[in-house]
Amino acid sequence: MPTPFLSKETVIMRSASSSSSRRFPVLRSSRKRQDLLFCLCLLLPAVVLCTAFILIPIIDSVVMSFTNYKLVNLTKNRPGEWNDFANYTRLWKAGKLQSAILITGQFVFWTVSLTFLVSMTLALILNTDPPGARFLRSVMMIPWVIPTVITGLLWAWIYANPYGLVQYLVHLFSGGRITDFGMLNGKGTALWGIILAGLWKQVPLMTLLLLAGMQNVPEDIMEAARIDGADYFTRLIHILIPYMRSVIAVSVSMCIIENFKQYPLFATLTNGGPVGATTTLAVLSYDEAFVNNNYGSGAAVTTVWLLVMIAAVAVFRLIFQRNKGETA
Amino acid sequence: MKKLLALLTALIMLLSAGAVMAEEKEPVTIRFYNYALSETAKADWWKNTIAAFEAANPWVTVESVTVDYNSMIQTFTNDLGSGLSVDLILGEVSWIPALVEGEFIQQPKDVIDPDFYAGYYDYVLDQMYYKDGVYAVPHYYTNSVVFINKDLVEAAGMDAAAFPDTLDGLKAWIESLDAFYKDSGKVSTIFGLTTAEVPATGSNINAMFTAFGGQLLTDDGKLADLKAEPNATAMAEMLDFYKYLIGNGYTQENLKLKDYRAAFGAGNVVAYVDSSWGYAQIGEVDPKAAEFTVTSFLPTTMGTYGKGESLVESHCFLIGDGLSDGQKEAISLFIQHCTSTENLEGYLNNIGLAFVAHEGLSGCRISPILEGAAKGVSHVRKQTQIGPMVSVQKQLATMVLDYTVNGASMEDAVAGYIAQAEYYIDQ
Repeated sequence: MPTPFLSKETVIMRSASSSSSRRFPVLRSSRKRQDLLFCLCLLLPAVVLCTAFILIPIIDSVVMSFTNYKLVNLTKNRPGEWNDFANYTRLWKAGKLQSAILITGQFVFWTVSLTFLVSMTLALILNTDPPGARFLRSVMMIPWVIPTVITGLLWAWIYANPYGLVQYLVHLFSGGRITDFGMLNGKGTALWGIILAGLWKQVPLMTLLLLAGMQNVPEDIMEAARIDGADYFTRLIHILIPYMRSVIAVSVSMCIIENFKQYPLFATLTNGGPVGATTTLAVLSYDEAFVNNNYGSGAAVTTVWLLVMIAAVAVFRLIFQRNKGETA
Repeated sequence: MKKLLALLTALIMLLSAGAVMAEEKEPVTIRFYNYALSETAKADWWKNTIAAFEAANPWVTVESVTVDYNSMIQTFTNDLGSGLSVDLILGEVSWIPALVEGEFIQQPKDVIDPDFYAGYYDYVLDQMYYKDGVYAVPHYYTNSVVFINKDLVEAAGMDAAAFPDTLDGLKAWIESLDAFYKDSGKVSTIFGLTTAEVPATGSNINAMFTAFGGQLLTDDGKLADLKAEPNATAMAEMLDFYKYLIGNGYTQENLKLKDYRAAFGAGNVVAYVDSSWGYAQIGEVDPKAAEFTVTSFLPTTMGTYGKGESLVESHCFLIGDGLSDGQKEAISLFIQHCTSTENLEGYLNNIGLAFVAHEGLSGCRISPILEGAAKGVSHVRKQTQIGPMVSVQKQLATMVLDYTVNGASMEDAVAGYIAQAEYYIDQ
């Protein structure tokens, strides 16, 4: 049934083509094959690059994790000696794997949650277009632009004991009672020191992403809800956030991945200490592979790290999809 | 007759030209991996030294590969894997096991001229022994050096030259200085010991354990029994000394050596323990630091068993495997050139303060700053080298922090250390 929006010539051509395809199935399959080939040609560069630079290294790393692979294997191009799960069991028996998974989980959970909360709050404030909003938007990008290693060094100075800013503030607000507060020195505070530095670095980008999503919410719907008597939080929960779902999903997923692979902040601020309190999977993997030159063991940590990250992102997507279904 | 003379002359010229040709050596290239080239002060010295060597030995080309210190092992591992040669490395003693296990260094005795090799001090070479032989030769070395701010000590009415020679004396010295500076706000550290969880700190704490009479590793590369004497007492006394320093605010926890160097250069530290070449960073903060810096060796009585012995740290030459005869000869000449009084004296006095490790340098002037520490220069003990040395030593810092800052009991802290050290040693 031709639609009224198509020109007469187009309708004639389409019906001719369709009838010829029906009459000549060979012609139809030939066109399909051509389309398929064209699609494959377009996909080929991406497939080749992904295979060469992502898939093969991952497979290689997973295979390496089941072998005894040391420096000599690398320099003399000798294959590693298969040792089944020895790398995994050794790490597990020493309690290093469990501890690193737990610390990574804590770091990712708190950093992502707090980043989202702070960013959402800032985005909501900036969305009301307060005076100086444009200036603020520009200035707040500075932490995001600074390289992560520099951020780490900057915060190391802020936390330095006894000359750092944090020490000074604690000394000031405790009325001079606390004189040697070392944020990165205590087992209970070191991870929070890194989380704070991570927030400073990551909040700007997420704020801007959320703000961009917020500004795409149709104003007429918000206006209609306002006229209908919906208060601020009702509009936020039932209109704004559902409309921003895709932006939230992307930005939070990016944040989860970013923090799972966070290494520079740990390397510059604590190097995994004190007493292993900030030894995440990233730090453990580096130490095993490049400090102890045990590449098999490092690859085992990397494999676990990859699986945990995939699981975390999958769980987040699952929860998000379920909520989407409920909202719909 | 004239024809005969001309013929003879031509013949003589031909023969002499042939002799010259025979003496000319085949050109060789040495690929030299040198992290010092990435450090401004040292880079100029190395560039000049290499240029002078090449001028004197035109058949040798030294191809310098500049690598950041922290990336050294990874860089030449990758280079070897990709088919490049690594002929000579300026490195550290702690790298020896990894490079021997990686099968890419050889024993220097097979390369260096035997007469020159015989001139190295045995107690320094001993430190470079791994498995079946000595795998490096020192350029220079250091023991544990106490840097002292002479002005701060004298302002407190004390004599900087009279550094205590017992642990009790050291504590009394620290307490006197603390009483003087307690509320002045001028001094952040009375006696600094590093406890940050980094490799350099691990090595520093291991040296302190040695000074207290302990021995971390057995001769066959296993973890020594830390619950047996004298190790148990040495460990307990060392941990208590750290707790005494941190608990009383005489030192700060979790500081790196570079933090102490910067603070010492700024005049905020009375004394701290470091390697001699730590002075380079002190001098960067205050170029006139030599005016207030003196040194000493550790007290010769440290607790029940301690004699204040040190471990040797050295910047050394590691020689790559698979060299041609020409390259071996060139490397031998190059090491001798770098280790000559003419070349090294300026370096040891102005760039990287250290002690000489070769008897051929016995006439070499040592920096006046190191005069005090020089008296204990050979008071060192051999340390067995093992593959995971860096991690095993780094865990010492974890143990110290666990006991001094995080409230673990001494038994738990030491037990935790033993478990971690054995994890790395048994891998």
